[in-house]
Amino acid sequence: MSFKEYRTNIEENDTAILYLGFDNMHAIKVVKGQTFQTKFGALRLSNLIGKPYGSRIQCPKGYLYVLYPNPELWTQNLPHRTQILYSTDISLVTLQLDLKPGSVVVESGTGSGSLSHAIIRTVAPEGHLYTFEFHEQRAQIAKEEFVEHGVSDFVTVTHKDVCQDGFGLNGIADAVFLDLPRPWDAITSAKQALKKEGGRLCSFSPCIEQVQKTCELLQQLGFEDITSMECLVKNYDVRTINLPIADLGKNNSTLSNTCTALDEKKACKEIEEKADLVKIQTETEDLETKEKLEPMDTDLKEKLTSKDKDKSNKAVDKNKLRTDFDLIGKKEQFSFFFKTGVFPQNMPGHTGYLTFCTLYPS
Amino acid sequence: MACAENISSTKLLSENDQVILKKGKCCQVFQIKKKRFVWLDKVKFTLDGVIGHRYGTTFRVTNGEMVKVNKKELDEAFQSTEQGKDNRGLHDLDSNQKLSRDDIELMKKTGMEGEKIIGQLIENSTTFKDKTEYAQEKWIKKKKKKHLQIFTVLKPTARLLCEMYHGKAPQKICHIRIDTLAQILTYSNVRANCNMAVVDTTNGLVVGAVLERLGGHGKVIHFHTGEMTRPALEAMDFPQHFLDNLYSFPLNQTNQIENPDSPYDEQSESRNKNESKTDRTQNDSAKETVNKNENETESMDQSENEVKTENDETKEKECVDLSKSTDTVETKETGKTTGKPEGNQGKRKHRDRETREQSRNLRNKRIRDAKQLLLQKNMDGLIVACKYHPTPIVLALLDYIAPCRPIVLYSQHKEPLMDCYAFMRERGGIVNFRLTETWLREYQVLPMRTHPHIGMSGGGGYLLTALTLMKPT
Repeated sequence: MSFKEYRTNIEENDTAILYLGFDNMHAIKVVKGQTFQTKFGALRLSNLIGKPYGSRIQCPKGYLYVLYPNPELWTQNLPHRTQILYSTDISLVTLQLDLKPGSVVVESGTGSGSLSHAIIRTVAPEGHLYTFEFHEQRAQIAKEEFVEHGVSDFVTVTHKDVCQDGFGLNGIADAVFLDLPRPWDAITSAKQALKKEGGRLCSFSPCIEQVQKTCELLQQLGFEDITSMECLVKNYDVRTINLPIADLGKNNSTLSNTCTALDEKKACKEIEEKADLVKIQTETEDLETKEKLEPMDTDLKEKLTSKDKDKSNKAVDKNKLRTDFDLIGKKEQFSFFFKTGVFPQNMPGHTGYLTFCTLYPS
Repeated sequence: MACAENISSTKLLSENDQVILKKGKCCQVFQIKKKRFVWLDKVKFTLDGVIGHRYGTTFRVTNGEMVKVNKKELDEAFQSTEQGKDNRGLHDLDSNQKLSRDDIELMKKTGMEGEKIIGQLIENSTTFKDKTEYAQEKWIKKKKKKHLQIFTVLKPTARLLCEMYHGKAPQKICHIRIDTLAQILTYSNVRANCNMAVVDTTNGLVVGAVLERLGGHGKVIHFHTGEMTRPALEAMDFPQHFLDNLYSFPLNQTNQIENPDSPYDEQSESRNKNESKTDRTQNDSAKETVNKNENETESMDQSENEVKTENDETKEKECVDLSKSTDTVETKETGKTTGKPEGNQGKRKHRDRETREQSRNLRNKRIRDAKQLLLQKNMDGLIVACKYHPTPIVLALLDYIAPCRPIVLYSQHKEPLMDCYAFMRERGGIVNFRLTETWLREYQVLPMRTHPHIGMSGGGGYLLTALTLMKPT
């Protein structure tokens, strides 16, 4: 197992991810003779050795999957020694710092190594990460983890307080990442660590006052294109929802179907609006229309206009109207069913502000 | 080993290099061509002046040329000694500014520097001195944006290109916002020594971003439809050994992957091309200026292509034109021609005819190679970022992905992804589904004036991510 490449089979002392269900995973080390307690009962780790990653493993009371670790799964399952950066922010940091194989990156602090793993993944094999941590034990554990994960060639862990003593690096870095309570104390040294030809810098701070002070100093030191942003992730749960249809009393309308006259009117209007939209719609929708049309090789423009007509016909033809609605949901006598992405009741509303800037060659 | 150069590169700019000109948030990509005029921000100028300088250098447009500027001089503020306390005495009147539009135009025409024009504007403003310190700063910032023709020359990267397209013509990149692109790259675990399958109709932005992350190690199969113009990818100016790892695979050959000897179906390809061309023509009116600007500056074959689109040529002619443009792209990809020919149409056409057969054979070989790679069923990830409904594409390609690899599907809308999720679950062998959307908010950070930007992007699209498993035996 190594974070820098994929391997097929589980070997002894690999770090592996046990997948028991969504949001129910464990990072384990496959040690011979040890057992791991899961909600499905005890798992003998020796049994895993030699099996391919991605296999289904039977436990006494259920089954689980063994997954090959990657930085994202690691971030979800690593032992927390500090607050960590999650994959949403990590993604933005990686792209905004222009990281790619060959980049030389300076990071402080190492913390629990969540971001470090992702940086190493992206800059290997030619690049390097210099990561600094002022807590001695954390630095030591991170170092051991990098060895265990087969990426120690691409990272140098240093136990040092960079706010007090600086990075001690000169003109070697393409990018610097700061996650410090007082980032302004490290920025001057960070500037020195950046290559003379320029580079990018990012500072992550939970509080706006930190951002304020950081930005002021960045500007003084000649950093440009300073932008601060916040990025949050929203998870959707795909669900079928059943909305009851209200009883509006007896209906005098001659219509025999379940829709009320008012509903019909509304629906007609909606479909007419939709037909109008067809003319100014996006490429995606154009395509949907196109896919339905056969054969493909005749003039599309003609087809589109005929499709328009088709749509307005639908608005008149009340029988076809039902099917149109079935695209969104299903209407029955007492309920309206539809599929939707439900967002969670609670979600993280703040992680931190990310400030990015560029140092141009002087 | 050398990687694609970035801002830290020590390389000096030369002709045919791709550059991004950046002024504030406004970005535009150009290829450096000697003595060729480009239009940007209502000014016409040549890029000859940037040759011999480094990426990251800032230039001023002076008399239609790029002249390097000293940044320290630029920072001299227009400090006013007088400041108002609030805006109670200010009225919004045309007479506040004594200079007329014609006066300003005249100053511009005589080649007066932007700073001097702004100085004149301040002098002739009756209200400037009564504005608050903050209002003065904001006013000057606005005028600077309008009157200073100062651009920084940058190396096109996935980040800058995504910003550029998202700002100017988001429909060209299926409305992928920078944070969404960032999630795609992270969740697909793309890194050196991966072989990726990428379905991309984003003008090559996603394929380009993936190539950037591969750093020349590992292959990409780009499933594409229609004519294969990938301006975003071309702008990134990858070295040849990066492009040698890029295989272009027509999406309409996907069902033929298991049939390694199937001949390349030229006819169906050109039909497909033609469709998407018509499709583009339909939408062209809605499209913005990114490509119009490129028309001015990009190579002849590309602008030719664009003009044809706009003019809505007859189908037949379009077909010919398109296969030609594909050829050109393809030959470039395989390194048969370096640099793009200028002018001299007749000669070029003749050579095209000669090389067409050759490049078709080459293309067929690349497709066969790609099929072989796919048939090993050991791809390291699947990314779908296209305008098509993802479900059929994903179901057709899933079998070629190795176990424990990420699948990342992008769509501008969440409903197609919900559909895809249902089908993938039914298929089995996939876990850890996540349907997500990211929210991005930018901030103005100034002493005592920190707040979120007034405008923000309403949506950056949706992602469905998952991991493959061992196929149950």
